[in-house]
Amino acid sequence: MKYKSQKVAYMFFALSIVLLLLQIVYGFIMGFAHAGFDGLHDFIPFNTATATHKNLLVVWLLSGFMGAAYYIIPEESQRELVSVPLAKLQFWSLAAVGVTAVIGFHFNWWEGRKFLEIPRPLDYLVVVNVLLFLGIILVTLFKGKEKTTTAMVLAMGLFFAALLYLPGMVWFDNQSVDSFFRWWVVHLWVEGVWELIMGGILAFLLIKLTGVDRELIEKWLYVIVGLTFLSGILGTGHHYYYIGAPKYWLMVGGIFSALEPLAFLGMALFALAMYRKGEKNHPNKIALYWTLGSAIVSFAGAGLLGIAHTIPSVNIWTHGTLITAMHGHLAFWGAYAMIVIAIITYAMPLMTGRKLYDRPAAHYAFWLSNIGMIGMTTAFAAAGVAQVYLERKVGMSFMDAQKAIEVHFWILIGAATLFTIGIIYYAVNFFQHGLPTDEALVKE
Amino acid sequence: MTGPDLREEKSFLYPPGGILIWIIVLVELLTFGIALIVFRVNFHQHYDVFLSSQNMLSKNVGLFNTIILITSGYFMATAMINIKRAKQKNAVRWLLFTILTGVLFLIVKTWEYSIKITEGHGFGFDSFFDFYWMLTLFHFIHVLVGLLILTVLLYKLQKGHYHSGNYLDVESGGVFWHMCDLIWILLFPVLYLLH
Repeated sequence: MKYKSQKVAYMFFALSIVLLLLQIVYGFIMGFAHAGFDGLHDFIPFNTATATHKNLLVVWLLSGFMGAAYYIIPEESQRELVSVPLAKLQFWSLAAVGVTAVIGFHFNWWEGRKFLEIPRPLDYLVVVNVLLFLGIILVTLFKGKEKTTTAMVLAMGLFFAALLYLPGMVWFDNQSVDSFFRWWVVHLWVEGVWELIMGGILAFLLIKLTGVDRELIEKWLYVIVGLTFLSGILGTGHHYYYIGAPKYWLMVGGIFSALEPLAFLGMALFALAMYRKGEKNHPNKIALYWTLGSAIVSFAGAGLLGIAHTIPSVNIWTHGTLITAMHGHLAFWGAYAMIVIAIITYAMPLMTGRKLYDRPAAHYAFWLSNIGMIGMTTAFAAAGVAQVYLERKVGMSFMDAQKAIEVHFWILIGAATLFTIGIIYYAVNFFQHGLPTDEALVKE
Repeated sequence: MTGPDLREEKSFLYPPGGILIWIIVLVELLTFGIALIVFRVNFHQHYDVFLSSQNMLSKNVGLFNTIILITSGYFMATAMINIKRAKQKNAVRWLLFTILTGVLFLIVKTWEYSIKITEGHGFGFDSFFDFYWMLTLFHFIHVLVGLLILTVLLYKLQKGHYHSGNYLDVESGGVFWHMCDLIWILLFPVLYLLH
């Protein structure tokens, strides 16, 4: 750690870890409900659990991104954050809005639009909060000594992510039109601007961990991120199949979705090439595991499992089934969860001065969570294929098909248990680092 | 962009214009390639609709535009040769011709578009025209971007920024421009001619 104000990142990272644990709880509630044990139904019905599970994911990832920005931007632009009190205010207001939203879901206070359930009054608070965050980051960046490509791409990603929140706040009377613009937020985040954020964090980590020339990493990485980003924009078309949008989206969505895995493959190959080229003497090996893991698992989850159901002639059968859950889990885990965990793993020893990366717990966390998540993905895949066959080919009713695939959810719960043990190891290791301290400052 | 020292190694990683532009070319060709294959598959599935709509396109306008773009590509290559031979003034002139022919292509294409629209064969008329508009509009945007790149290159070439010792940027701009030609040379027969 080079600047005192970087410590503020800790609060965001801690919030991320806590919300991740809470997200897992809601995952289990749904897993058991699918397996036939829906004892909490009167208090937390499935729709509440699913909304909470997904919104917690978004909030903990955003909190992780914000923490990453508060850590990376001072270091890259070589100056303190312009205001630490404002950053703390931004943190507490983010936490307050997040908690209010989650509690509200349990009292049916929400908009009922998938992924964008947060009620409208809270939307405005989110906007104010994000504006404050962007203000702190951008002013720091522009007052800084250096404007590196890495910092600019990260800041650009955060700026556009904020901008793309707005289409979700426009009121439409028509269900199809509403869905159309809803995907501008959801899809253009995860397959567009969030990839800039991921690219920025990935570049920062590769530069620090491999010791390869900054110029080389920045040049190559942004070509690949650029390709991912460009294929992702028109790839939005794969959400427009069979929802009432014009037919030409079948063609546009199919073609550009087919390109998306290639960009992810490029990113994975690139990260591995930089690793092989690097010096391999950075002590924090486990941070490198998470970094490379993110590049590889996002290719598998976002790239391969994405193309598995974005071709229109496949999607006509699989649209809105557990096949989507299969893709969603590994894609979010690989692309975003792992990159956030990677930056936390990298930053914690530097902020606290406690080098806990050689502990077995750090390695258990990595392997158990990854093996568990791959098991979960497989269980979702089996359940999804069976669901598609029974419900859409055989013609069983939705609930009968769900009853028939109950057994897969026991496998899911088993794999999820493994995953959870990994995350608990991670959380324990995280909090054992203790609080960040000025004693960890390193003068150059 | 990398300087000329790396280029002189004649490394596989530094083809004319640098490796990065060739990655873009590869991805572009792949995209248009997939789209054209999907188009052909659809053509065979809805043969009568596609055939009657295809006959509404003017082959002569298409051919004319093909010739314009190929000529423009020739001008670009000539400009490049002149830079390498340190004939700065000639290079500027040929690059200007390249841009003018590019603009002519856009004018003819726009005229063709306006006829299609007044005839009522716009986007959404039928599957054939969906493909027609999508593919040619994507190509149109590429030509526009190409012209933007060439204009910047022309400006910097005039200022003396590029010369026989420093031309990697011009070369990669040229590669992009030739890619626009190549895509059109693929689009024209597949969209206008092949039954």
